[in-house]
Amino acid sequence: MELVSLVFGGLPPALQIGGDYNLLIQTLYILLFFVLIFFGQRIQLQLILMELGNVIGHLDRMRRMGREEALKKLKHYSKNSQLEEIFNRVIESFVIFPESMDPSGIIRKLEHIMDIRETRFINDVKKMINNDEVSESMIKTMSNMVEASMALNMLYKIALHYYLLAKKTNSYFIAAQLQMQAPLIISFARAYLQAVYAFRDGAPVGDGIGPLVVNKFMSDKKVVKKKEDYVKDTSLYEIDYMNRRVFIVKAKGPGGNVGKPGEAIKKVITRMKKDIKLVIMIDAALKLEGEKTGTIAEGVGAAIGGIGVEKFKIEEIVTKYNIPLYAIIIKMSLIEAISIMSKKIASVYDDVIKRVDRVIKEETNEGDAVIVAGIGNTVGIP
Amino acid sequence: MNIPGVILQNNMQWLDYLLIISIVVAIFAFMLGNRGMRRANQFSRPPEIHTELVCSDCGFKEIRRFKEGDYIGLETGEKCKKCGGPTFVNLIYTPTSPLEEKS
Ligand SMILES: [Zn+2]
Repeated sequence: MELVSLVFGGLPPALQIGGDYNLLIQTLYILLFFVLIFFGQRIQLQLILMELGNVIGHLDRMRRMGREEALKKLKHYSKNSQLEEIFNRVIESFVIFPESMDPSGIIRKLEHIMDIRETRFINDVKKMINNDEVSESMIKTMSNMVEASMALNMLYKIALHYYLLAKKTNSYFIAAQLQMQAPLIISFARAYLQAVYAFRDGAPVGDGIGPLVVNKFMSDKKVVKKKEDYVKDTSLYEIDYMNRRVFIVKAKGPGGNVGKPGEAIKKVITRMKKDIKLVIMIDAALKLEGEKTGTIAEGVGAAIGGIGVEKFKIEEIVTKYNIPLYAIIIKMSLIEAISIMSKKIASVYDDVIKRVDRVIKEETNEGDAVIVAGIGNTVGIP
Repeated sequence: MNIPGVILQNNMQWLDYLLIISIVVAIFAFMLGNRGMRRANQFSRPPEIHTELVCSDCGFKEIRRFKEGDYIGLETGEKCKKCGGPTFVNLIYTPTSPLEEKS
């Protein structure tokens, strides 16, 4: 009693007699019951919208941080006074994917569209910088940074769209859907913000473990032949190892770049035909929650992400010549894949190299030729 | 006017408890929500980056802060602290994973 009167400033004297007071409480509870039945969802909606408002605010902060970081870096090198104007235009740019109703030939179309996009993107970044002293690899790294900032912007815009839609239509279910996705959206945004930082500094990202492994694999061996731009943005090295010809495919570093490993593998196999006895692909792969970061696993098939163009090329060519395709993957989460490589990931390269050695020894004979491809972004890894 | 059996005998006390419990629950929920936000902000900061230099002559490892322009295999021109030999960048990494939970 004391506490209730303290909080509510005391009850009117007429109600302080037991029976009447009971009646009031009883009525209130019954009222509350009906309020909750009829307006429960509305109340829930308001609660969810409040929570989503926080999420949107957080996304907006991250988006602005990413944008500022990217602009700061660009400004440092830029000689163009219209930098921000071009940046704003690029941030809002889009890609229209080819029609898939008649899927024959779609891979070629898709590749074409993505090639144009990349060229245009790089040219835009070059225009933003407008400085001949900045190296090509630096431009590529910066274009990756702008891309990450673009992704942050997109995430924010999509989340905001559903938030405002839920508000406008007073729809509990639109709000609930966004609420369900919110933790994932936030974690994606965090990952992209970390990616902005990584590309800003030009330090290797987790996804670069594939290129790192092949870089370390070659580092203590004599490179017989080296072609830097074997196909667009992709290098090919040849080493003589355990009396086998080992061709190493890797995107050209140390600029941020994934290259065209599929095209390179295709070109090597087209030239060497059945002399290639084995293709080994090394790539980062998404782990399941509960799996440890840096776990290595072996399997078969084309270990490569992206939109599928390179994967298709590899699968097609190895099928044509009946060449076995092995995959070694290093597991990590999305945020680890696109943020600066953690020690846990970097330190597994030794183990991966041992596995590559073993697979080459077990699956091929002396005199055979093997392709080892390190798939992933080469930022900071030449 | 009482409906027998519905009203608790001591509803004053019962209400007091309800009030205390709901206040405690509200504070707890608020703190929990705040903690989540703070953790989210912590992930928005750039991580610390280390560069591991290895001496080409004696293999001595030295870890220093990452400098812009460092990349794997780069011969930095920095001398080995043990024998004075040339060093190269062996690895670049962040010592803390962005996912490591700190509670
Ligand atoms: Zn030394």
